[in-house]
Amino acid sequence: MNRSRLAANAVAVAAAAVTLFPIYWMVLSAVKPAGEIQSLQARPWTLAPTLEHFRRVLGAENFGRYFLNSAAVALSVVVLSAVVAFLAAFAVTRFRFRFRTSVLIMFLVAQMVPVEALTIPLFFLVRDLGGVVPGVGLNTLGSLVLVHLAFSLPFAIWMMRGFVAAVPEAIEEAAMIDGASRAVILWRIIFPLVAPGLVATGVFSFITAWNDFIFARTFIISATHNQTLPAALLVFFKPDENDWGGIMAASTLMTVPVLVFFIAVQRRLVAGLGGAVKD
Amino acid sequence: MTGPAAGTDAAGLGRARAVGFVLPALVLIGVFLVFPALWTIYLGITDYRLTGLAAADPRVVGAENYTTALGDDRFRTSLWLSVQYVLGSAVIGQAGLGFAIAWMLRGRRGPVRRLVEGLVLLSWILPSSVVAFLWIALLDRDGGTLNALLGTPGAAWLLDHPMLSIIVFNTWRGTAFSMMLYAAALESVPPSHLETARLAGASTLQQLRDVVLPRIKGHILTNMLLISLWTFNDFTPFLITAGGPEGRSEILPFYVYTTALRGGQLGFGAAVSFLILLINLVFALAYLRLLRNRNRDHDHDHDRDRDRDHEDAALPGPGPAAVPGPAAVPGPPPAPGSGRAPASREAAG
Repeated sequence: MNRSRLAANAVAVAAAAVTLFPIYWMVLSAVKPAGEIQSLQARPWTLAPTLEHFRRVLGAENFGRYFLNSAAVALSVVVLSAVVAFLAAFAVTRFRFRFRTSVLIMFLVAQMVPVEALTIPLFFLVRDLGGVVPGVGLNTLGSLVLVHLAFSLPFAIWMMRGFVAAVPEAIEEAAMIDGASRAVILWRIIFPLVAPGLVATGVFSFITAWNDFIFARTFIISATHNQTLPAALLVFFKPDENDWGGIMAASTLMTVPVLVFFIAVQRRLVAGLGGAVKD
Repeated sequence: MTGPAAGTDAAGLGRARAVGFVLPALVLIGVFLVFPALWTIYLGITDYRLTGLAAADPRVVGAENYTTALGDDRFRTSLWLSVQYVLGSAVIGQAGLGFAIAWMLRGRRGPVRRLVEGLVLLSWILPSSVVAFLWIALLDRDGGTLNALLGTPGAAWLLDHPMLSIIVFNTWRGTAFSMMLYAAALESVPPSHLETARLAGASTLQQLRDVVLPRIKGHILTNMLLISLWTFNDFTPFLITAGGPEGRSEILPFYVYTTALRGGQLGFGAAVSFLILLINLVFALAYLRLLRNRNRDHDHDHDRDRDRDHEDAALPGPGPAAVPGPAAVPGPPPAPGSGRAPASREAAG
């Protein structure tokens, strides 16, 4: 028993080390002096850590602007997706209406469409939409929010169904009898109860929106001030010599918000994912 | 009109409001997912190109794109590589490793668990472009970290073993989801059952097969469905190998990307995308079928679990996709796996 425990611990720690290594390498390369990165003997440590790459990234490349763009898009998607998915999941779980099954199947199938396939139609769609509705056309952050929102919904609704279903209907009935209005029941009673699910789906939509590369490249063509971080990283790839120090420093900076967001919700995340699939 | 709904509708939602609640989601998904997907189907039967004559005036060519694709060796190779990629990195890699970690960490609290969980999750939440750079740096031929560590200078991992490289990469990248799902699933297995089995002399393998597996089948199937779909459509490793060398790691999404976007053959790319969608659909139907069968068996065994199982069964619904919208028929039959009659009065009223 004890020996197998020990072995399990050892394996777990080894797996953790393998996982951690590339991340360690990223931070390490970000603080290594330029000369050391290029040297052939790559050493897994550095004796002269430097912030030169960070300074270059933050100073020259309009990094702050891109950072705020990415944050604005990702946070809008998280908030909107939580509200829209919650309402939809509530309706399809608690209420049987015509075409309900069709609607559920549509959510599921929508999940399977390869993103690359939709890029071209979406480009034309966003272009034309921009002519009708201001603020969501090409070169706008609004277009990114809308498209990411739509892509996050099938999974979010699917996850939220399990959570809404787990809330006993008796709670709603009791609240009704106590004279609570529908809005109060929905937002003050049920919404908090499904919070773990919202956290789990929120992490998903945040990560997808924050990491997105394809849509940002496709929709933001000329308005460079509306560019987001992943696409902006390309600046450091040069035809002759990639600026690895810059790439790694920018990557580290790009990872920090995800980490903060994630550490804030880690405990709830595991519970959240588990609750979505009731066995 | 909403009268008969009262019994099924604890929040007093009413039909109009229920539809109103679903509407924003439906409109968004309809406009940004379904409509472009239908457009893709249309493009698939044309010779639409990014540039040139066919760009201005695309012609409908019928099934030509499909016959070209199915007859193309490159497409068939891509399909086979995609199958390897899904089996290797999702079904074996992510699900296997995820289960192993969840099993080892089960029932424990404290720093080891939090550390391992945190790190596995970390590799999952990192931005894709970032992790791609990290893996290029790791596997690089000259000055790559792996070569430095193994003492194999000049070993060209990405050139000699491109598929293995991206399979290992995707396993590293995506194990977190399976781990979390299985960790949650294993918590639903009562420790007393395992204890009893152990006292009765069951080996670990026997415990897994007879005690754990039957209880977490639903989680396993859901997990397999999701990670297979994600992996099949995964584009991230393109940043690492770009499908090369000589197309030896060109899985289907890369094939679409290079033919449609780089080669400018939008019509052809759309046709291949539609084939990918069909393959996904086959995956999904197979899993849903297994899931339904499970629920049916389950209902006979565990009457008390009915209500919770019912929710699983409600998702695929009776005969998914093949019979769209059975709810449109007044008084739909209960879903086969549900084990209790759904409140069907609303549709009748």
